[in-house]
Amino acid sequence: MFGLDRQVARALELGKELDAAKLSRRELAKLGLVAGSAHWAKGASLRAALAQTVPAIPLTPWRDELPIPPRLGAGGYSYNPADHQWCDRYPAQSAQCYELRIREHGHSFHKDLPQSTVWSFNGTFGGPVLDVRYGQPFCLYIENDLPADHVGYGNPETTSHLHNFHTATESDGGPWNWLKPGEHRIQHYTMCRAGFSDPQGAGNPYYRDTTGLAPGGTWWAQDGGDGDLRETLTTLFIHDHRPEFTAPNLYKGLFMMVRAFDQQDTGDESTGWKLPSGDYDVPLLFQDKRIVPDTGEMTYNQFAVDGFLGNYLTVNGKIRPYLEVEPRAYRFRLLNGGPSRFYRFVLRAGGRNVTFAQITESGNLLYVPRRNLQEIDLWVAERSDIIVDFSGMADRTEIIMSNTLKMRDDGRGEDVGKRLNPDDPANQILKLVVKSKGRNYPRFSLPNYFRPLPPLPDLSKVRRRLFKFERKNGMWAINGRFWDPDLDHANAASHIDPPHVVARDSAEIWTLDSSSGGWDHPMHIHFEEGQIIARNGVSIPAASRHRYDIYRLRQSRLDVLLRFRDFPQTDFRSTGAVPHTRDDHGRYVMHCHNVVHEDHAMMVTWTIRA
Amino acid sequence: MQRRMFFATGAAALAGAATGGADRVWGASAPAASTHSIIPNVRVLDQDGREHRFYDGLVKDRVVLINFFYTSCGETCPLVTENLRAVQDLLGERAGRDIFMYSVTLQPELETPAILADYAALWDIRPGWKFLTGAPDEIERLRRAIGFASADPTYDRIKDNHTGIVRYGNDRLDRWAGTAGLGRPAWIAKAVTALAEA
Repeated sequence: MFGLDRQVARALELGKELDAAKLSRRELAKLGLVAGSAHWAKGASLRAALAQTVPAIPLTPWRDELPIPPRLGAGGYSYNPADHQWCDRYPAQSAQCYELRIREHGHSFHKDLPQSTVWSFNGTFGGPVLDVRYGQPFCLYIENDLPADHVGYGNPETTSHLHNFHTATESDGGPWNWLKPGEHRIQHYTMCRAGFSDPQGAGNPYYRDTTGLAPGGTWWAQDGGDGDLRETLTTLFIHDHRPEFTAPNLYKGLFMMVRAFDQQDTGDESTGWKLPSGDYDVPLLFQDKRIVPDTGEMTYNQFAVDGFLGNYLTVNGKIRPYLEVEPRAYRFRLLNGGPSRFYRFVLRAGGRNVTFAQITESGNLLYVPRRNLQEIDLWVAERSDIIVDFSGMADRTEIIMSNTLKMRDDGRGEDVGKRLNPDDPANQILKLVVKSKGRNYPRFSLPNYFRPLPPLPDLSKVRRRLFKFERKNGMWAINGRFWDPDLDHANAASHIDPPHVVARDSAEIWTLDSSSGGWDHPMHIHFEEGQIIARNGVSIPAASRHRYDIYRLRQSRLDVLLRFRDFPQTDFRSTGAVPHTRDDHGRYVMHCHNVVHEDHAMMVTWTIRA
Repeated sequence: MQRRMFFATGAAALAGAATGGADRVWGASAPAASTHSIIPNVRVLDQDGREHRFYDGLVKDRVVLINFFYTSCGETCPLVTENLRAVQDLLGERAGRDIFMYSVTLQPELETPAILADYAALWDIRPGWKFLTGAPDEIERLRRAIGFASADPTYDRIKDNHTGIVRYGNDRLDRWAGTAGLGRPAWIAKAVTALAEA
């Protein structure tokens, strides 16, 4: 081989020759060598070709009952605390070691359809629901039981990420160290809030309550406690993160909900904020599917680059199911399981919208809940908990949850300005039917406030960092570079000098800049929630701020304040079996959660250093 | 004059290929249906002027890397080709034995096998890597089917917007993904090798 310079020079020379030889369309047409305009005459079918359109056949509506994900019971796995950061101080009791087995199995999306082959955690499409509690560290034993000889889309190598917990690198389930079929590993979660290693409680003004809302005192953190209450996470989910295959693996079904409870959001209606609990706290996991009606098999286009849309909307793995509800308040936890579709949910009854309240956004409790909403948007990977109060509604009242958000046909984002008809069967997702069990139903009273946001540091002193997202030659580049799935992982040199190093315990403002028109990007930053402090250069007032883990980018420039606390553990020395190098304990990613974009390099690695 | 000469050579090469036999006249008959649901069985010509069915002849039961390029592409293609040349070295003996590489032109109306052969020679391409051209409408169909296209006509029209992806897959498993053509060669080689061994 000769040198790169010479090759480039030769290529450029050849290019110039060809440019010089440019032929007129007429000359080419004479020779019949150009299809020319014929390509573009066929343009109308391009969208269909890219989307691999299969028309949805009508299925009997409201035939299946909505399945509720079963609660995951604890197993009894032992683990080596020396493998995990902070395990010395926050060990998981064996009663909090849960088993996840990733399996292939048959699943019925609708009684009219034959069974589909899906992947899931523990053999139920959309998995079980895992309930965890602050102050009770836990472990996940994750085993990959997928068939090694799998044929078709999806890669039976998998890694499981708890989105968006405050997790040590080795347990983050990020896009490295995936499990091959037959392999397993244990991930550990401290169940502490961000800030747990800070000097806490009385004496640290950062934690002083200025709202009068702090529970049992004037501090948002207690000495020796489990972090800043204002950093509590509420509705989370676990999903596959195998690089370059996340979209098909997620689509196969590798996602499940996690509910984190705490001393006020207790999971018990008689305590704390008394939010609807138990049977009245209902996970709703949304994914859209393409299904071949004759065989029941799901299809996926492995060659899609912009996005992938299904033509059947499913909730908890069913197409247009029904759920009987009692005339009382419910908490519905909405989770958009992707891969590319966004939703705008409405509740319809008798041709009108039913109002509801929103208590969480991006999985985190709002400071002030939003009342009397008629619709709510959910981008990919977002979670929003809503309260719907059926009190006083007559038996057999029917309320239908529908989607009115129209996506662009290639799945790259919303077709802004268009609206789907919520009463068209194609856009209907779930029917709720009121049925009283004759109980004396309590009136539900929505709290006026949950927890305030943590205060901002002095912004003039924080470091700023720019991440510019650009489409480059059909792939996604961040600051002009492509994500390298292998970097920081196998390459020892990159441990010494990784890209984007942030200092532990520092705060930074990250500017997320996506200027390409027509593209929507639900951008996700692992490890830490951030507050958007400015949009397109305009400050966001404190009352409109929130803690997010998904940042909606639509030709926009968001300034996000992030803090990097607790990890890596400074005195951690791995002595366990898991091989860690000393400098590889603070590695995370940011990526687009339109997972088709993520699979095409829209991801960047960043590292926290003590 | 240079233009004319170039044109004459190019056209002659294409014409030569096209008159090899009645069944080889471009557009004379529809390509045989592909047995793959997405990857079409279009007819392509390699840099040596040999004709292949894209799916049946080049992809079926193989582990492959596919990218699109054009010889006059100024910035990206030479770097991608150079990068993939490094990948070919990393693949060692597997290149051409059980892992195959295909670079398809985005300018089939201009780029004849002879031009592609010249381009391949620039990079000292080893066996197992074919540079492909064909009838423009068939290459266009291939490009769209396997995800080197955009539904946005303005974006799609710019050839350079399709030069950065490398598709890799194992047809026996029908497992496909994309990676950056300018990614680190070690990753590209590792990704495709992992599929070959899956």
